[in-house]
Amino acid sequence: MRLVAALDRFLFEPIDARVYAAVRVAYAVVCLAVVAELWPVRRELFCGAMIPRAPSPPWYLPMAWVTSPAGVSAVLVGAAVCAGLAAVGLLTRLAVVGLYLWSFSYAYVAYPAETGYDGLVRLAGLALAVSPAARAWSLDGLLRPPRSSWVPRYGLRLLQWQLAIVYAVTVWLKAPDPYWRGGDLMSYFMMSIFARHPDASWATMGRTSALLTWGTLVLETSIPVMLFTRRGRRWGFLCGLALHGGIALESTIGLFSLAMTPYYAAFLRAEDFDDLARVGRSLRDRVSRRPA
Amino acid sequence: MPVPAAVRRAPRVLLGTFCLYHMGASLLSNMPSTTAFGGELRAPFEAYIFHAGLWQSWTMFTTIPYFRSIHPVLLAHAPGGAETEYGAILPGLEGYRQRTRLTGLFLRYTFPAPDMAGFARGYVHDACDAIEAASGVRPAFVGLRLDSEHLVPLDRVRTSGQTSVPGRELSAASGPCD
Repeated sequence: MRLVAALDRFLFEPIDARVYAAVRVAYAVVCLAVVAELWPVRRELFCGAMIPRAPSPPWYLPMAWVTSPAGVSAVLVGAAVCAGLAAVGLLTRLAVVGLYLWSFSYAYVAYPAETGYDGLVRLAGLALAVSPAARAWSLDGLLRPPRSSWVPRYGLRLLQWQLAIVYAVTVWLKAPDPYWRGGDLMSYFMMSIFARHPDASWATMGRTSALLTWGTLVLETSIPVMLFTRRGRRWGFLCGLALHGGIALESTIGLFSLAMTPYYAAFLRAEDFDDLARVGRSLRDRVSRRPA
Repeated sequence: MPVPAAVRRAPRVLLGTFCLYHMGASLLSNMPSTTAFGGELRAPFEAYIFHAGLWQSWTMFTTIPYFRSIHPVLLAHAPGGAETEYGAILPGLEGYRQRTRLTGLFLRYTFPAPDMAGFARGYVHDACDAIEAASGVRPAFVGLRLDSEHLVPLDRVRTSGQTSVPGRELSAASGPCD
């Protein structure tokens, strides 16, 4: 019975609805960014010319129904509209389900061109689609005020669990590689096709490369542990910012970093919003007190 | 009449069970089928993974990226033996342009894993059709060739100052146009 009670608390402990709102807004921004990224290559990826259609896709996937350039464009515009609605919280459930089905369908149809962030978008979409209706920071909430600003946290738990899996699996796969073990990976990466500013000088920066390579493994191992603990949570956010900020600044796969934000937002708590508001007020007061 | 406690709790129990099942499926969708368990552990989740789109792969930079740049092209061999180069972007045979997504696509088509082999063959088949439409002659053979700048070992970069050397790979999916 103790286990059942612990599970019940783990999944259904009430949490501030603003946490879901932060996740939702972050997810909407990610989806808009992916629509913008896909738009220039939509004809190549989704019209069947470069990627042969996989047989018998599930019927509920919107991309499975269209092969014409106009149809594909319409689906992407629809996804952008859903992202806009999700961002402002209007018809939220419908918008999020639409985004989930869109992300599922484009990854299914263009499977050979799938990237890591497509997985993140699809999996976050599913978790949000089954999450409780949290009408904070939303037009839905203005139109139909919620009875309580506290909601069960099971949807956030699904996202938190997924974040832990992402880091655990990637460390499991990277750790045996001799370049990761030897600390050379970052030198090669920073000279490669994925570097934003490829530079030969990285070949002579052995110590920096080793520290960054091993540091990445250390961060990917420890971030989930920190995020799941009350005292380490904010350190987890800082380490995540360092890791993904670095990826966003120095690589061509910045969308991956952006796609991680809803997962990090799932670890927020009510006190984070209160503290942020306090910091905002304090800054505003300092600015207003400054002599002209 | 008051609703019995068990009935009141039923939605919560169902939702909790779903969450635990979902978490199990997320975890086991990462389980390779090459372990001693084979597909046994995944089996109870397989249908859910497929229908909910829960497949996932976190093989991100599990080793170094081997290329400084890539430039895929299509090679068409006419029935008489003459070889012509075309752009690799279908259906219009336009030249390749650098985009992360297209980079990943052409790397997978050039070095196709088992789950990509069918897609890569389909691409080459479609390339046969596109080249026939553009030139009026159906080629006998079409190959996807990846021209690239290959990264060289760090000690060579230190001595020569050059980060890469030219490379050429022919995709395993290249083949005759039926």
